[in-house]
Amino acid sequence: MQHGFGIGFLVAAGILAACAPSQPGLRVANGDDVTLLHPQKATSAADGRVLQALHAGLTRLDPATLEPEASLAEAFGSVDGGAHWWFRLRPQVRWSDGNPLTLADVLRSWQQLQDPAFGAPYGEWLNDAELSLQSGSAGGEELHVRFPFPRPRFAEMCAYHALAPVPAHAAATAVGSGPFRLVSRRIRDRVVVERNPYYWDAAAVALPGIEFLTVESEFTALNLFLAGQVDYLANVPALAIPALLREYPHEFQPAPQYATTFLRLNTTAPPFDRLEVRRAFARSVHSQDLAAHVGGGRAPAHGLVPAGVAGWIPPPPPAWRQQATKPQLLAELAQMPPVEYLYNSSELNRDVAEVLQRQWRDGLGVHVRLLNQERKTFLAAQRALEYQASRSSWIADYLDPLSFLEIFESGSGNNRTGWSDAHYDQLLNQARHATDPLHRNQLLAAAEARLLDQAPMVPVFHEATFELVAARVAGFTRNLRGYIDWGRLSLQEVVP
Amino acid sequence: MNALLRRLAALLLTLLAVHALAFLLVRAARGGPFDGDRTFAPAVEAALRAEYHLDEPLWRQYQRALGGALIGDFGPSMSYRDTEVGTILRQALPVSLGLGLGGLTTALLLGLPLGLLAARRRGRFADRGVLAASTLALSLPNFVLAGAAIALFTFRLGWLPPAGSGGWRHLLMPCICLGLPFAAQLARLTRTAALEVMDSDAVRVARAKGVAEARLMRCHVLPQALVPVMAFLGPAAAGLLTGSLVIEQVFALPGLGAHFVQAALNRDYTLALGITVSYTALLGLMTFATDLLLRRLDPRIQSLS
Repeated sequence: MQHGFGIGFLVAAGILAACAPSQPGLRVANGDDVTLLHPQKATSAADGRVLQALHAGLTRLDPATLEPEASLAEAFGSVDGGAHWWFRLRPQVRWSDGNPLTLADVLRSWQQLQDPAFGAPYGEWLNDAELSLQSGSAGGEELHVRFPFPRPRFAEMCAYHALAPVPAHAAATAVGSGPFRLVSRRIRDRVVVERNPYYWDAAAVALPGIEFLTVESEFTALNLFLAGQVDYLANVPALAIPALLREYPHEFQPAPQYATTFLRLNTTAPPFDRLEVRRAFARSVHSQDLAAHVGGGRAPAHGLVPAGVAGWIPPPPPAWRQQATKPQLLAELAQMPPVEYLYNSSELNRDVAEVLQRQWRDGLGVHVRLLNQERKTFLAAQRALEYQASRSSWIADYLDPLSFLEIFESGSGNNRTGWSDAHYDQLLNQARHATDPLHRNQLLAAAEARLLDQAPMVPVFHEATFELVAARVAGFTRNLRGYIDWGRLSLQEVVP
Repeated sequence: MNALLRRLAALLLTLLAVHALAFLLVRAARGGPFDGDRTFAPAVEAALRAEYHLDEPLWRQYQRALGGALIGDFGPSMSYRDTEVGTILRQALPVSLGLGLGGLTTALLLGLPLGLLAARRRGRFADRGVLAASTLALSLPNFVLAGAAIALFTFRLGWLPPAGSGGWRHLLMPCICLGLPFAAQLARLTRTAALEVMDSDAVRVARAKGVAEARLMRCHVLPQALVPVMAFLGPAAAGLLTGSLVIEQVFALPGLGAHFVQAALNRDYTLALGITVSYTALLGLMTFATDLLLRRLDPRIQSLS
């Protein structure tokens, strides 16, 4: 009897908890569940959106230009072309529990990040940095960061949650320094945050709070939006895109993203260990055709690095792209056993695979077998180089061509093609040490040209964001990084 | 008493076997908990593996997992790295239980009366109507049913929210959509069992003695027809609890169903183990409770065992 009562109580508590009243404010359909609220350890996009609300960096970004501006730091700057950075903190900066936040906290947070035993995925951003607190020229204390070579985008990286300071006196999952502070978190349901009165720019924060709802199904999220229950969707179902473009032109505007979808070719095994075979396959991929048929608004890619960064001039396509495949090679390819194309299960990936299968059959007479695997199995196979050709994508954390190009550096864990090229590595190293931005971009463009010429990868799309934002949300700006400064959003009355 | 103790001991042994199998199977699947689009630096991955004792020999990991499971501690989740498996179970299990209970109530409230009605009106319009409706409810997949319900009750009539949790109105559609296929099965089962009882000599004698039809159904037909229905309810209740994945996804409810699948897909060894053992315990207890109830309803079962 007592057990029955206990189970009954548990069920009632569960139902009541599921029926918790929601607070006024912005409601966000956040996609996947938030798995980790530690800013230094989290990596997923869903975690990132919540962490951007809870944790402030030394800098923040202008959502329109993505240029860094002062945040917890009242001033910052660099010398030696970005090899040496300094930051001065605002006076009276506080954690969300009211305790003072100091430069010593920032220093300790970054030292923690540098420690491999701490297990922070973005620790490599600071691995080679020398950190110190010094008296600045203006009299106050400054944090100095010295790198062995220039990091021109370091101020932008400081706006990312991975470099946000974390408290020593409380759990980083509970206390932050961002425009909002944590109220509650219910696994697979929602994270509720409210305005942080101790935020350095609290007076400018208009939203009373935000509810980040876990809604994994894109169709369910869209239903919630159409019923007026959420204000923001990170992604929409591909099937709904044409209707949304037609009926919600203000709320739904796909925008370019600093991300690329591409194919990896395993250069350690036949047939892609031969350069002419890789080139023949790359030549037969028509990204224009792919984007038009299955891209859903994504732009065709002719290189790995997307456009959109000031000063970046992509290299011209390799000369062999305009040449026809030699008849002798074509005859050889036609005799070849079927080539396997590996992709992880998703509707878009399947569509891309089917178009590629047709393009390679029509262009080269090759029979391609499509292999579809669940994500973790797929990733393990890709890491072990147990594939011939496979699908991949990369989203950059900051706007720098280097963040794409270093994927294919020799020995990089993200390479996963077995391709290694001394000339390419040398160009990247030279670019890292370049202090002149123009020269740096030229070296990086030369490296990309080399990569495209050697074809261990084949570009397919430059990605896009498919955010759906309610008309009552004011201050929202779509940008290349999908960066949202929640503190600058507000809700307005909408006249129907 | 001895028989009950034997059943409990069998349940414990089953739990141990399921724990060992789940431990091995989830690790046999390709890929690891820390595999992602972005490869971690080797030192970071090594630190993570050490944090979760994945650098230890398999037997030591099993020893650790078993020791924890025996005291109900499955350790921290590998995908929710700042959360204990126990916390996830405590938050999600009541939602799934509530949803399952709502589905079961729907199934009982619709299935039993409709089954009895169909039996009483054998071969007539009501009987055919119940059979046709139950065939439809059984053949429609959950997500189609849910989609149709959302289209009708949210976008056509504007009565209920399309998804989420925030009030009892949020639970109505999920409970009905979850319970309907079980209601259909129950109606068919009740009809068949009731028809069998109604054709029995005992009922014919009672009717000949002039017992009123309503009393006949309530006192003679229903108790006997309930025996096969009760036998169905145990596994059905477990099915309602474990089979709510689609409904939880469509209505964005924070239950255990989605965790169950995601834990396996994410290679979250600790969470997958915790949920598998919890579900097995639940299933075992449901079957055990059904057995007890059946003994009460039908003394022949007790004498047989």
